[in-house]
Amino acid sequence: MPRYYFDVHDAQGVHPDEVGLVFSDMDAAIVEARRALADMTRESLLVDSATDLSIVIRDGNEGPVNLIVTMTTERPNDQG
Amino acid sequence: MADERVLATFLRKLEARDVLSDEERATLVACAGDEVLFPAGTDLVREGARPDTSMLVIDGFTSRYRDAPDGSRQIMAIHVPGDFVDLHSLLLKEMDHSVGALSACRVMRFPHGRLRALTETHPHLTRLLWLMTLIDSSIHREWLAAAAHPAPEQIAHLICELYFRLEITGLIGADRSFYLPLTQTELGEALGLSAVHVNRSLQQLRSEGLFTWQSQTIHILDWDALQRRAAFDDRYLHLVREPR
Repeated sequence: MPRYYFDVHDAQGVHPDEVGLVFSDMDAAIVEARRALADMTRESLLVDSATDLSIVIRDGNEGPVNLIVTMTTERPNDQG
Repeated sequence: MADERVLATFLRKLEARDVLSDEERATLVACAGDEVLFPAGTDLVREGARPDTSMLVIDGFTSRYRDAPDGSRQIMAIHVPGDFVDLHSLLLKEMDHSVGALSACRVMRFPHGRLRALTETHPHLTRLLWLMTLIDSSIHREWLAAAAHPAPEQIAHLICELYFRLEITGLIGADRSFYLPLTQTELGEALGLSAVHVNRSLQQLRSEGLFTWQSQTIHILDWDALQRRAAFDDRYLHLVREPR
């Protein structure tokens, strides 16, 4: 089974994955990345100020695939 | 017939919490049955089984787990050498979870008939066996409470816990290192986190200089800072030696 690498981009910058994880195919790797984004989004909302999060899935033959969560805090009536 | 050295890790666990007489140590040894080896990845006992022995792991690491219908696994506990992993089956009869070998394991089987006889003749030893299952539940409570914290803290907390539990049985190296046969996926299954999130959190802890984890060995670099990072309080491990 192929090994997929998940680079995480968050408020602290890029965290390249040097270990990787083995999945049956890219679809299974995407399911794992979505789960990871759900965990990390929850944590980021509790701990950090809102920042975008993304995971880039790499492997030798397919991809890359980017998964992105965008977070914004808007104040539409703020006069500045 | 087992001798006392074989049960050394277990006896040290008991003696961290109370005093054992020579007669009590001999009684525990006489209760032991045969020794069995389990390769890594095999099950010591499966959910639904009705064992007639309870297993004490002399060497090796095990997990208590359940498999969900979707194929995912939840690890509810990690056991270290010297833990009596299914003392529960003496009274619960039917296993409500499985116990799997995380590494190769050497196990001592205690026939239920002998354990039952022990409870009838040795009230103090009975209380100590009861204490072991109470400490198991205390650890479950701590894991539930820890699950509310961010992933790096959860990982730091587990490393601190394993350090204390292994230290009692003399399994911590002089340079604060210990053997931990766990994959990142298994660590995620234990903490309820995705493996990718575990990997990212481990990188963060590494960049903070708290510990390294290579070739199944944890090496703690800054023990005080690691305990602060985890907000670790060892009270739930009940490491006080007093009459029980």
